Order: sequence, then structure tokens, then C-alpha cells
Amino acid sequence: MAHAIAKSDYTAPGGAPAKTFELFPRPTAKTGLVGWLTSVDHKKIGMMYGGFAILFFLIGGLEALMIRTQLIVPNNRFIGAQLYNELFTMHGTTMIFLAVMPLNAAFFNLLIPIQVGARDVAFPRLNAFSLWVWVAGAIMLNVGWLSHFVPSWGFGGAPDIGWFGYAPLTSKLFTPDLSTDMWVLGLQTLGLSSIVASLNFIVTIINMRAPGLTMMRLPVFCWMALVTSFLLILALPAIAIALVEVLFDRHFGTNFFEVSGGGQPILWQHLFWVFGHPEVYILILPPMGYVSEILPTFSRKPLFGYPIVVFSGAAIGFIGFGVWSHHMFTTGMGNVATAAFAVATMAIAVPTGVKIFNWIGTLWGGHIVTRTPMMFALGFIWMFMMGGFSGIMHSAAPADAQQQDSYFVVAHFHYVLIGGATFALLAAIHYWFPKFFGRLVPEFWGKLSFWIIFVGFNTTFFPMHFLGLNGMPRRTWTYDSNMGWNEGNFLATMGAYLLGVGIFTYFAVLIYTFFKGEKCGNDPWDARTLEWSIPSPPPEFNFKAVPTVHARDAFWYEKTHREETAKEQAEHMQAEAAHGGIHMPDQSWYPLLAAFGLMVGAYNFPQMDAPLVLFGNTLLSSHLPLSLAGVGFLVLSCYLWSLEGPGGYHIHLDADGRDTTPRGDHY
Amino acid sequence: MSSLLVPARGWFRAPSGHERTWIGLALCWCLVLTLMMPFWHFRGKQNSRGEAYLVTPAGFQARVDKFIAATKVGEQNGIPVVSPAPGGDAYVLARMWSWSPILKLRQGETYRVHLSSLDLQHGFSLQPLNMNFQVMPGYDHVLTLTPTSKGTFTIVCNEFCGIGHSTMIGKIIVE
Repeated sequence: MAHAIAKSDYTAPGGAPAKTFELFPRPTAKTGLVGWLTSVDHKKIGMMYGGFAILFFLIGGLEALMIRTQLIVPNNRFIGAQLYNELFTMHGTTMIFLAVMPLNAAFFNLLIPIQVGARDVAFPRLNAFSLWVWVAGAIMLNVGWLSHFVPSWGFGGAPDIGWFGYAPLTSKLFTPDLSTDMWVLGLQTLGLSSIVASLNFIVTIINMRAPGLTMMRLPVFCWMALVTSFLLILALPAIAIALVEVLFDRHFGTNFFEVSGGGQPILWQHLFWVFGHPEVYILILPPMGYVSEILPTFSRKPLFGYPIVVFSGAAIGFIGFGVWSHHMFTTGMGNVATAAFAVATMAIAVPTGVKIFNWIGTLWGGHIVTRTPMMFALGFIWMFMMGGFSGIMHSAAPADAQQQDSYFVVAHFHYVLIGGATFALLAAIHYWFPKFFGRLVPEFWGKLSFWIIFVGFNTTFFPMHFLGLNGMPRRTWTYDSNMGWNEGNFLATMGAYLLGVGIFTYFAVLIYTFFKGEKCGNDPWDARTLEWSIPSPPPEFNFKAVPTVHARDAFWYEKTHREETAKEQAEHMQAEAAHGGIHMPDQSWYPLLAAFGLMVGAYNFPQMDAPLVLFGNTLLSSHLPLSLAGVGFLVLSCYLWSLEGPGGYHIHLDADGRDTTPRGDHY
Repeated sequence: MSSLLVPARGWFRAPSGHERTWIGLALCWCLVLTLMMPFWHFRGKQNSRGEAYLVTPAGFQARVDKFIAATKVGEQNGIPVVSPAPGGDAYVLARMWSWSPILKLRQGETYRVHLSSLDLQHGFSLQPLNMNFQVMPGYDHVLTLTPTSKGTFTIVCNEFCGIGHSTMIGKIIVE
């Protein structure tokens, strides 16, 4: 295998060096701005995903606090209706596409290559492309906020159509400004990023596993990442088509959703939810993976029923494509469709429940260590179960008629997405922080932040169940004092402030730890998977020797079979040295440049009818040339990308695993 | 036994005693819950059957205008109040951001209430009962309903429909 690595990538058939063309020399800087912008290292890309995601998580949180402040008392005038509409639209869009999904992508990047015993993902430059395309999409979604500060910007504010942008509200007639176009193209761009990243992770997980790491020895997190990646590449085309249709309706006079032209707004609901419901599982399956890694470590025993946990994750992925119309029970689909989707929705609770039983089975009889990540993971099980219960209540179609578009639904999906996904992500950040920064988060402050978040979260969202059952509609800017919603809203807002304090504490502690935290070794939790067998933070090449995997809990096995492991590692190191050393991918400018071209093209495209005005001077009569230039730049970048060749260089280690390669020495 | 070892073959034991009783009870309870839904659907006769037809907004508006002209009994704040014939059709039209007309129904009589929208999607949320139905343009959503209690019921829009969403409130009066 080492032979294949050494020979395949950078020599043409016959042994002659492959012909390449480099417009400018490939970057080699490992640090500094250039090092980060051109990085193909999965750990650096993961950190950037994580950093941006946390930034947007905090922005989305601030948006939520403004929404809750507006609803604290009836008939409040804290913010206007227009700003309120923009805030809840962007709160939903941000939290889903710019916070939870990229945080999951961050962990995919950071962990998958190490957990499968590889040195990077399968396509390192494509991975950088995913990141920068994601950044381009994030900028397009949020650029509308600038028009609140610079009115001449001409956007009419941020998108204000709700995160599921029901047609025909998205038509040119009802939202003529650019914000809706930016929402459409921003989501399209984010979708591209996710599809590219998913293909990369699928290939990485299937093709780049270390010797002995069979599929049924794969850590559950990797399994959930694999299922999630398949869900992404199957679900995103549905929304991509729907978004193209909206764009055509808006700019080229088609009638997909225009009722006057014979279009069907209900088509949007179907296309949106056939993406949107798998999306829910895209958000929650990776968190199920983190929890399945954290619970065994702190219960001091292997995961209970590993194959069943894996199969039920895959079953959730399959059934997840057959439940979308439960979002549409009250549109008048008829009894047969309603009954079928109700039953499918109830069926999906079975594999989910199986997982919960297996987590409890893991805890059962274990030697439970309540460190902070474990607290969040235990909180996840309980809170996610609560969200699951209200989910089953929705699945009963007659009951759903009392809950549709009410605050009950808001309570339900926040229990699933905060109590579920976010709790698991906070657990994961806390758990893997020592691995990637080499410092342990202080236990007291970590637990304190957990309890504040736990109490704040429940105070915010538990009253919303009752508000919803008492008829409070979602997305309402304000309400009358005689509706009986005053106390619940006041309590929810107070809870939201407490939740804000908790989240602030959590991240303040992380920042403190980053600079001043207690240093830790490779394996502070006595953990089970391969990432804990390498130094903290991991070196660029991850493993000095490719590991051989003998058991599901690969590192627990290594710890109890030290001689065997040392012998195998020495053999692997020798074999790799004989074939030229550790082969690492070269950095590249082109992923960043291609993403930039895509952003310029997409940003200018919906403005093609408007003249380009800069500081009051009309420079161009249309944005079309700029849009075409952007697309041209994208094509050119991809062309040069393919010409520069895969590149690559070797790292040589001495017997202790120290890097002896002279800096900048390629080959 | 070390937890790292593979458990011996034949670890499965068939449930017996209390365990078997509990599994049996749980299974029966699942069946009861599952069967309750269809049972209550037919026995209770309270659920919407999800009846809907294609219409054009202009065609629906013409039907509503005709209906209002035939059954109008008054006006409140510029919105017509109508009293449809028992057993017959009644119409509620949603548009940005109002519900029209105000229905005056009689307790114990059955009506077929047609819901549709002129412009974009709205949500028909009947308060304080808290029954919710989506109202789409181009789609005639029919509710067959029999009021069982008297009073004034509020219609709240619960599907986001733009800047005036929170002010879109209508009324049904039952006497």
C-alpha cells in the first residue's frame, strides 16, 4: 500500500515527471495569512470552518436575543416589523446553514482523516474549495445587513421571507428587492459547498481507512458522517432545482410558482421539504455521532450495540427521505397521503428510539465519569428525547392541525436543534478542544456554563409548548395583551437572556483556555479512538506511522497491546521511509480564487438589470459584464487548477518521529 | 471480564418472567395507540379530510363576490358580514392582510367552508380552538365544519405573509 502512495500521484506512466503548468509558484508557507488562505491541511480547514461557524453561531444568537426582546411584552415597539422579519429569517438561515452545518463540517474535517488513520482527506484542494465556497455563500446571505448602515447599498435589508421562503412570497411581485436574490444564490452556493465536501468525505471514509479498519470497526462518528454525506448529495439537488426555479420566475418570466400563469406554490413546499426534512437529519446525525463517541469514553465501556447504532443511523437516513409531507398535513393533501406520511414519520421514531436505548445501555453498569463533555452528552440524551416526544405528537396528523405554524413547533425544533444538535456540538467542542489546542478546559467553569445553558434553554423553550397550544402563531412581530400569551413570553425572554449568559460563559472559558489553560498530554480522557494516540495538537502529517486497527475501540486495544503496536508501527515507518517518506499534498491558490470568481459571478447576476454605481458615479449600465467576468474567473481558476497537477512533497522522520525534512524541500 | 473482549457466543436469552410481561404490555400499548388514530378519525368525525381543489384566484374571487352579494347581512369596519345558508357553502378569502367576509354561522348546522388566497400563502388559525389550515393561492381548501358552541372566534394568520402578518385578523361569529 505504501508503494501505491509513493508512486501514483506525481509520476506519469513510464516514470517521466508529469507535465504541469504553474502560472505562479505554488505557496509553501505553513503559517501566516498565505499559509491559512492556501492551506489544504484538513486540520487547518476544519479550524477555519469551526471559527467561522462559531462567529455565525454568536451572530445568530444575537438575532435570537433581539427577537425575544421584541416579544417580551405585548404590543412592543423595540424593533420594527421589517427588521423583525429580517431577524427571524436570518436567525433560522444562519443557525442551520452557517452555524450547525459548518460546525459539523469542522468536525468532519478535524476528525475523519485521523479517525480512519489517514494523513489528509482524499481530495485536499477540493476540501479547501468547499471551505471558500461556503464563505462566499455566507457573505452573500449576510451582505444585506450592510444596507441598514449604508442605505445607498440598494438591498432593502437582509432577506425577509422566512427560512423556508414559501412561494409565492419569493416572487418579484412581493419581494422586489435584491435581498431575496441574495438568499436564493447564497443558499445555492452553500449547497455546492456541501455537495463537494460530502463527496470528499465519502471517498475519504471508504477509500482511506488504515489497514485493519473494516467498515464495522469504523467509529460511529465516521459512520454518521458517511450517512450524512449521502443525505447531503441526495437532498441538496432538490433545493437546487427549486432555487433555480425561483430565480427563473424572478428574472426570466417563468411560471413555476406564479399562480396567475398556472404555477403551483405547493410545488415549492414539496421541493423544499424533500430537501428540508433530510436536512433535519443532516443536522442531527453528526451530533448523534459525537455523543456515541463521548458516552463510551466517560462510561469506561464500549458502545452498547454498535452494529444496531450504525444500522439505525442508516435507517434514519433512508426513512428520512419518505417523511417530508408531514410539514404539509394542513395543506389539504387528502386522507391517503396524510396517513402514509403520518405512519412513515412514526416509523422514523423507531431507529431514533433504538439509538437512545443503546446510549442508555452504554451508560448502564458503566463507571460514569461526569466531566463537562459527559454532562453535555447526558443533557443531549434527555433534551433530544423531549424534542423527539413533541415530534411524535406532530406525526399524528389530526393533532398536527393544532400545532401547525404555532410556537409548539418552535419549541419542538429548538429542543431538537439546541437540546439535541447544539448540546452535542458543545460537548464535542469541549471533548476535542484538548486534542487540537493541547489545553484542557477548566472543569468548574465548563460545568458552570453547562448548568446555565441547561436552565436557560429550558426556561426559554419549555413555555413555548404552552404558548403554541394556546394559539400563538410563529413569526408574529407582536401580539395583543388579551391573548393570554404574556407570562409565557416574558418567561421565555428571561430564559433567552440566561441562555445568552451561558453561551457567553462557555466561549469566554474556551478563549481563556486557548491562551492560559492547563497543558495536557495526548490522551487526557483515556479515550478510545485513534486521534488520541497522536500528539496534541496533531502534527501536520497526523501519524508518524500508519496505524493498524485490531478492534472497534482501536486506541484502547493499542493501550493494552503496546508491544504488538510498537512492532507494527516500526514496520510501517520503515516501509514508508523506503518509498520516499510521508507523502503530503501541496498547497494551492486556486480553490480560493475559484470561490472568489463564483462569488463575484453570483453576486452580480441578479443585479444585471441595474447600473453599476460607485460613489454616485454610474460606471456601467449593467452588472452583467461583472457577472460574466466572475464566471470567467471561476472557469480560468479551475483550468489552471487542473494544470498545476496534484503536486506533493515528502516528510522524513527520525526514529523518534521528529521531522528531519529541510523546510521548503519538495521531493 | 474485560469489556474489550468479545462476548461469548450464544449470549442471547429469550425474555422470560417480568421482562416478558413488560414487553408484551408495551407491545399492546403500541397497538392501542396506533389503532386509536384510525378509530378516532372515523368515530369522532372531527378531522379535516384534507379536501382541496384547483381554482384560479380570479375565479375564486368571483365566487366569493357572488356569495357575499347573496348572503350579506351587514358590515363591520368595512368588511361584509354574511349569513350563509345552513348545509351550504361558505367562503373565506385571504389577502394581504385581511380575511373577508365575516361569517355568521348557526350552532349545530353543518357548513362547507371554502378557503383560498388571492395573493400569497396565508395560514387559517381559528382561535381559541387553535385549529390550523394552510391557505394557498390557486387552491380551494374545503373544511366541513359544524359549530358546537356559540361565541366569536378569531381567525389569526399563522403563515408568514409579509410586513402586515401580525395584523391579519378575521372573525367567525356563531349564534
